[in-house]
Amino acid sequence: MLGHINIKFTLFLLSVLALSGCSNSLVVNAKFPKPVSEPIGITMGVVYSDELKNYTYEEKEDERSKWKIGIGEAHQTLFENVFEEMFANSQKLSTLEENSANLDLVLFPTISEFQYSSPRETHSKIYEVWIKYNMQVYTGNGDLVADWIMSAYGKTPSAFLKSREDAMNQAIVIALRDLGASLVSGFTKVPEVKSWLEQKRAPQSDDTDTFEDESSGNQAALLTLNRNHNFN
Amino acid sequence: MKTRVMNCLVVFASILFAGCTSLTIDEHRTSEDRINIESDQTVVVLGRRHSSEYETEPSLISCVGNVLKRGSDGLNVMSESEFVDALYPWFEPRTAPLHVNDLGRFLDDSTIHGTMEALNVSYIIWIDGQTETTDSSGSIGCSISVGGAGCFGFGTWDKESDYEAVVWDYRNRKTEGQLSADASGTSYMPAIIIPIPIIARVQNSACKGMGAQLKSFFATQE
Repeated sequence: MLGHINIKFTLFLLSVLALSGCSNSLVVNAKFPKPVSEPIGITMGVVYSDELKNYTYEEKEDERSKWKIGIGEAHQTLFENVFEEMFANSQKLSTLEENSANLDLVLFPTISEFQYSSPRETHSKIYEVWIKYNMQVYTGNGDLVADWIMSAYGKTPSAFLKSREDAMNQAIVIALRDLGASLVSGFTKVPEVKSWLEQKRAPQSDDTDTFEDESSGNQAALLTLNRNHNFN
Repeated sequence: MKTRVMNCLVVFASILFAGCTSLTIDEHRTSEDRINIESDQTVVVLGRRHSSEYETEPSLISCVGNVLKRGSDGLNVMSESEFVDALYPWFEPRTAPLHVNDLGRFLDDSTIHGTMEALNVSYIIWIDGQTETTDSSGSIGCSISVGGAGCFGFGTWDKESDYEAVVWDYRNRKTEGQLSADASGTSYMPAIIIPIPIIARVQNSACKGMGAQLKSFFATQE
């Protein structure tokens, strides 16, 4: 009787092991440094939608390993880190409807696509990750200012002596750092955003008092905009 | 006890039969004089990561940094990850300066320049390249039976390292010199019951050669 139970238990263990051999579950664990960036003198709302926060990629193709990767939380960590330093003020919003006239702009980021390649597919030692985003920027009154696509890329320096989860985690962290780099170095270069910022600065050269009233009394923001205006 | 003796023999044989590597270093300096560097001035060694085809191994970068740090004339070297995090995101693959003149944008930006000054970074050494296996042949078969386990066969593989290093003077925005290191070696693995690896440490050889040569660019002062 005892032997019969042991055989059943062994079979159960073997089947669990066999199944776990082709499925990987990962919630990305990431820490990001604060960016070195001169804050843009505006109040920016950032929408952390449930869709973004809970974004999980699930592999559906039969021929590939059954990856289940939670990347939403890591995105929120990155955005909070980056936007805190990138803008004079940043506020978290849960939905676009929380938009208000107190905010200069509102950024609504969404993940539109996630792709990866594993060493088995590329015959190299590395994992690679591509993530595509849709970025929308609205005014505080809800008018669309800009709508553009961004992409991020990351790869593990080497998957040697790493578990598959660790290697994938590292590739995703590098992709997210790449996203942060794109945002910090490229946000003000998006033509529509650039044009909006120029318009925002324009009244200040004609009448600084009027601009002070419009800037919600934010002295830091005012100083930054003044300085940027002088540089331009 | 027997196993311990066997393990010791394997380690001893590995050390004794380390494969040979050959290393060639070419260098070019803009000045014959060595660069005078204060002991508190920081040097960073960074790997190029902008190519999707390959990337300079972090292990090599850290190895070169360690060679530069070593000894009484060792330089004050900041680790790559610490530096890249402190200057995030300006030394990411997407944003890192590719030419020495690109440093101008850092000197012009008070926030970035302020951070560089706080870290007292004077020289940036970029290393670009990789070590790869270029050829391999032979086969080793292992089997386990009730009587015991063992391997039999012979394997060999060639590795080549190809690196280029360039030294930037951050404050004066100029290249102080550059060097290239080419190393190659063949590793062997004969197996008669136990496999005996005779490894050619190609990357390590390139690291030590480059590190020593780069160190000779500098003259440390108290």
